[in-house]
Amino acid sequence: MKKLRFYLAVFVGKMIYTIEKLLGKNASVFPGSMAIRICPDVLGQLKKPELIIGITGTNGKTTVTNMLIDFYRRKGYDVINNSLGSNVAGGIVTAFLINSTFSGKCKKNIAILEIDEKSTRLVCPYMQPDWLICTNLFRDSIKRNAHTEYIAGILDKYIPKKTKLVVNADDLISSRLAEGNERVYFGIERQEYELESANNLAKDITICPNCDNKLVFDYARYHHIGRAHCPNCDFASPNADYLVKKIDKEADEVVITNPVGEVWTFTMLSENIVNIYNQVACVALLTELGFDTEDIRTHLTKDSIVASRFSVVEAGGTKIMTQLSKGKNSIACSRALDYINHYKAESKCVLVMVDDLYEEKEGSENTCWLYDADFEYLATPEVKRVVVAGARALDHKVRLLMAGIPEEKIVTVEAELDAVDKLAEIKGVEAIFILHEVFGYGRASEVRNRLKERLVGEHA
Amino acid sequence: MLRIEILYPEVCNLYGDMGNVQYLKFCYPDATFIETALTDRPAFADSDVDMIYMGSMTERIQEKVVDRLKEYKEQLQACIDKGTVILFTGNAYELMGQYIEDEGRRIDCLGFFPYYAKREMMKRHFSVILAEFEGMDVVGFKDQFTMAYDHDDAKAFMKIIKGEGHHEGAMFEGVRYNNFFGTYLLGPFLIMNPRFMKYLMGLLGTEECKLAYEDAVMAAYEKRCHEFRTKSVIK
Ligand SMILES: [Zn+2]
Repeated sequence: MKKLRFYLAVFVGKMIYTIEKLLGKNASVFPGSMAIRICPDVLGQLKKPELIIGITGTNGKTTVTNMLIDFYRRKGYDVINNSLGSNVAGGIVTAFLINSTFSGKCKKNIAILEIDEKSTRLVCPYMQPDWLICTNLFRDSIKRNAHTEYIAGILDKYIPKKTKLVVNADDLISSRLAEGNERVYFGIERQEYELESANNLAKDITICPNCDNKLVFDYARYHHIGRAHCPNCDFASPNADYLVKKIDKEADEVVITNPVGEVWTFTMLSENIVNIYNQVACVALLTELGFDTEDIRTHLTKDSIVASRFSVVEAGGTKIMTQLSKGKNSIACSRALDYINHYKAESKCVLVMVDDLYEEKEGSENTCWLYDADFEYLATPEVKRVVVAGARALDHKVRLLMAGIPEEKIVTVEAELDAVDKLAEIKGVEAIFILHEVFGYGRASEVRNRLKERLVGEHA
Repeated sequence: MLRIEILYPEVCNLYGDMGNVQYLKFCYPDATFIETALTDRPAFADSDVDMIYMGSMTERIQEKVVDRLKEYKEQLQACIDKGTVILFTGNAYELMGQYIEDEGRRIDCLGFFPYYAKREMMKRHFSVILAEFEGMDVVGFKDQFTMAYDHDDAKAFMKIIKGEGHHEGAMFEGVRYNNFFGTYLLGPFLIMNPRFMKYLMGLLGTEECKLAYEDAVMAAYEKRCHEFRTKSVIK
């Protein structure tokens, strides 16, 4: 009977997948969730590949997953993955189902899976990753994720004892996950320009977990990322096994030391520091899995840092950049704002279109997160105008004023496409940044394309 | 000169709560702001303060904070009695009740008011709130693992127009007694409620209340009140 349910679940799941595909649907969650409905431990009964790599964390997990899948593919492996699908339980079951035979045998040797932090609760009891990378843990959507202690609590409870971890030594939250498990740490050494304290608003660990005293940061990179110690007890950041010693933007290189002190040079995959973390996390894992540096140099490439997260087009002398700024994730938003702040240009304009349309439709977006996001980064003379588009534009305006941006620089519009006029009004701008939500890339590219037409037309 | 004490800002700041503090600083640029850390002795314990604010925290921190505040319970009671303006938002306000029930475990709180909170870590309660306080619209959001029960509704902070009060089906939200205001509403409560902010400034003795960025803040508030009132998906 038990077996029968399982075969039925596999059959139905595979059928739904085929039908959805024929109908041109994305088919990522539904087949898996139906299979779970029929047989709750379908994932447990499906045969697993020899190696399972899981990737979780608040920010960067999609990029790391894509980088690793791409690496293995270039090496000639066929990989079970959910990179085009979904990172919740249904999505992960779908990924296994479509790579299994009807009798539940696995057709491939390796699985690389992005796992939503909260979904470890439903996934890990049935599928133990051999390795789990946790990129970082930060505050995220209030509604889904509450706070980092809640998420860390779930991970602590459900990460299997045998899973080896690859964690961020510069993150005092995720580096302490599942404390009994074997692990390697990655990190980035303090760079010359980095200060002792970060001026970010949101910091998810500020006091010593042992004695409640305020932690002292040796240096802070952003938010709670950096190195800290307790002035009152021996609590301190762990040392990184794989450490980025140097970020050489001129030479386009990163220098990484390994656990035995060897010094390796790699091409920098992205200037953005969050992607350097992603790169060193991949280097750490792949080295632990036995790949040599030559392999990693050749097959770990920037191609997998996907365009929907960052794109640049040139339009009549102006660079227009779209940037993903996950809505309601104050940290991702602050990283994007920090990037704009540090981008070298005499004149910049910014379009913020990060409303959560779904939440807005169901009720009204909870805008509390605006006060955790560092809009202060836009209060510079180079930023000539900030346009905010969408239903919550007036709330953004208040936030921008409080961040010290003069009222005459702020423009609010209801309809996103109306932003095109407002951005084009400021002449001769060097760089225009469009911050969009996860599901907003399509809309952001439409604004960008119209803006491009306009600017090219004016320039001609 | 006003003295405003912020309790445990290093940990009581989960959902933009420090927006309130920043806004108070803009409205009272000359006031003294005292930021008290978890290992510090609060200012209200030894001297007069005009206002005390505390925001949201994790469940683990709630227990630490309640332990800390138990040491100063008498002084806090005295502040409430003499009419010090106190605003506790999010789950900070739970600590003023009797206890928190957490899957059979009981966490004793300060016991100033009769209510208790029931926590379920696998449930997240979300609600969009439109409520009334002294003829003013109050708006905000709730997002929490708890519901509160056994209130004395004569001491409720606001009357619900839309959304959920203390618990499912409750008509009232929060506690108001003298100048103590406790509410589950999250984050930048004072920025989202400029009319209440003016009321609060009145309690602090400010005669002519001019808010920081008043026009922009009022415009956002009025738009939100209108939306919450008219949108049919908000119930
Ligand atoms: Zn300590």
